[in-house]
Amino acid sequence: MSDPVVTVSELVKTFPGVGTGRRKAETRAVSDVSFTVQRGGALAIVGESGSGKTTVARCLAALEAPTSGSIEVCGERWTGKQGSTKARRRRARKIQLVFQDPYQSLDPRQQVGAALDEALRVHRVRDGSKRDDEVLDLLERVGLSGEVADFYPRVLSGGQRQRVAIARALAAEPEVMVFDESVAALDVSIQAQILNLVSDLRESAGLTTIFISHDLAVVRQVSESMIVMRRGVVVEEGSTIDVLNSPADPYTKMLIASIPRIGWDPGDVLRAASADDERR
Amino acid sequence: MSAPLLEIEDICLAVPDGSQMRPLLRGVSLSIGVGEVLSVVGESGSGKSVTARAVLGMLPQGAEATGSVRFAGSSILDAPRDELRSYRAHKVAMIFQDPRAYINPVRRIGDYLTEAATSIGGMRRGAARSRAMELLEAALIDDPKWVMDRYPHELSGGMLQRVMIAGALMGEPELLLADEPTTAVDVSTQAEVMAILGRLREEFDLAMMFITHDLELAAATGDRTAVMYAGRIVEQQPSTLLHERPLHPYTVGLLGSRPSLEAAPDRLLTIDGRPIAAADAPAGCAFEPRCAFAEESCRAQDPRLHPLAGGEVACLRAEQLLERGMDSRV
Repeated sequence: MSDPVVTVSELVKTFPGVGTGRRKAETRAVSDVSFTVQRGGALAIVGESGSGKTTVARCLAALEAPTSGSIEVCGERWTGKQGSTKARRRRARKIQLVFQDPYQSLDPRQQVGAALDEALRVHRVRDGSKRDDEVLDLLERVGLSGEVADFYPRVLSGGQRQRVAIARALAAEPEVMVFDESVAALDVSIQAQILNLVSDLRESAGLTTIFISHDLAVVRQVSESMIVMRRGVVVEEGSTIDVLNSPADPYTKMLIASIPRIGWDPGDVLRAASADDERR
Repeated sequence: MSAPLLEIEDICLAVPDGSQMRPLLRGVSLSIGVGEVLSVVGESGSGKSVTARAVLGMLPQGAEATGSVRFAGSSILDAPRDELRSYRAHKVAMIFQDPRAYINPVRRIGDYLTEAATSIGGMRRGAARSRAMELLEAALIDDPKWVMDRYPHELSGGMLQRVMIAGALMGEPELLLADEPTTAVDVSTQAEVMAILGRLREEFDLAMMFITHDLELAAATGDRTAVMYAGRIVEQQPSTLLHERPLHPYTVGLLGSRPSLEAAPDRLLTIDGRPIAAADAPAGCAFEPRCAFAEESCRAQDPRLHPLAGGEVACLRAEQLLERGMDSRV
């Protein structure tokens, strides 16, 4: 019973280099990444900085055009071309992205209610009189009270802002939500609230989620399957439990060994990493 | 037990905010022995960084402070300027989260490392340079000479973090204040930085105050862990014990909020509401509005840090809760 919602095949993304002459080499952020996510599934993309995980997220949300390869969401196939505004909106209705930093992803001069209203108007609800109710409904779904609609982002805490960002993504009623390190900047107790919200939304709205994170404990909590990226390529993939319990790739092993815990010896990680470098 | 290296007693700190005073710390007490590591954990606004700065005798402008900071017996907060200067040059050093914001971008690494040693420490330039290179090597930098001639922008964040650590050790301090030195780096770089810190601590018999928001990292690093909330330490225990048997409901909540590698519960435990700053602390216990175990008395009485079962805790119901256990969900 296979019902893939997202299929990424042989995705490649390069960026033009900086500098001049021989020093101007292009940067290959993602080379040959493929994966599928089933309907209602939860995928995690794990990697450190420079692994290309955020570039994959941005390609999924059509914020970047792939250099080659294709992305198929809900049966619709996108390749390199950006396409018209209309086409991009059609995409956005299927897949929405929630960013890491809620301090930068919300417009500081726009009240929360207006931001949600705008997202509703663009994507779904033409009728202005209906939108007010929908704004309240969205706020309720992310655990915020209706009065927040009149607030500007600056009076909200980081966790509240992230809830607003999630509500804004929900306004499009997407099939897929991509969370790009969306809890990394939050305090531990707030992080737990947002992670719970994400699992509630998966259940209630039947969302398919792609969670991008460097934090393996968070990945364990929010995903069923995972891929591990390093320098633009996938080094390991599988069910989250299998990969975390019996990692096959030395890089995945190193990532797991890097997690601090009681009795942890960071020196072990260094030794493992240098042995790994020699092998490569 | 010999006298501790650092002893902080009941520091209260407030800064002017308009016509009022805004409290930042509400009575922080802690001590660190020679060569000991104390981890300090807390969420944003709990007062961890302010506490570390108070150890350096660096108070915010116009701040009013009561209580005392003593280093090897001598008082810091009311020390004269020249004494404070030599204390900061030779006794304590601090490293920060973001080395790029801290290291002068227009000067070479060598100049950054040797400046204080030559101008305040009275070292000759040549001697300072060779000491700097020794420390870079101790910080596992392969080619110290090459690094000395680089500018900060030519080095990666992880390399620059090592440079900052080497710089902190130039004055041969006895105490290192580490303010979230690995928060902005990847996990594998974090392991590197922690391995280097561990090595250097052993080599130089350094005591350390290690500030972090990561409870696991705190436990892996510190002999003891202190948990801060709203400008106060609410619990302090040997790190292993703190994880096995937390005494304060806030610590229980923090431990439960953190997802784990071993299991994924349907829902994580959460603490209602959000962390408050010292200034917003209500009368009575500051954690009471978010606490699942709060009683009438918690609203009225402000709990002080007191010894309990091998640790210290600031909770009126701690004895009762210890007996009964706090498994019944926060």
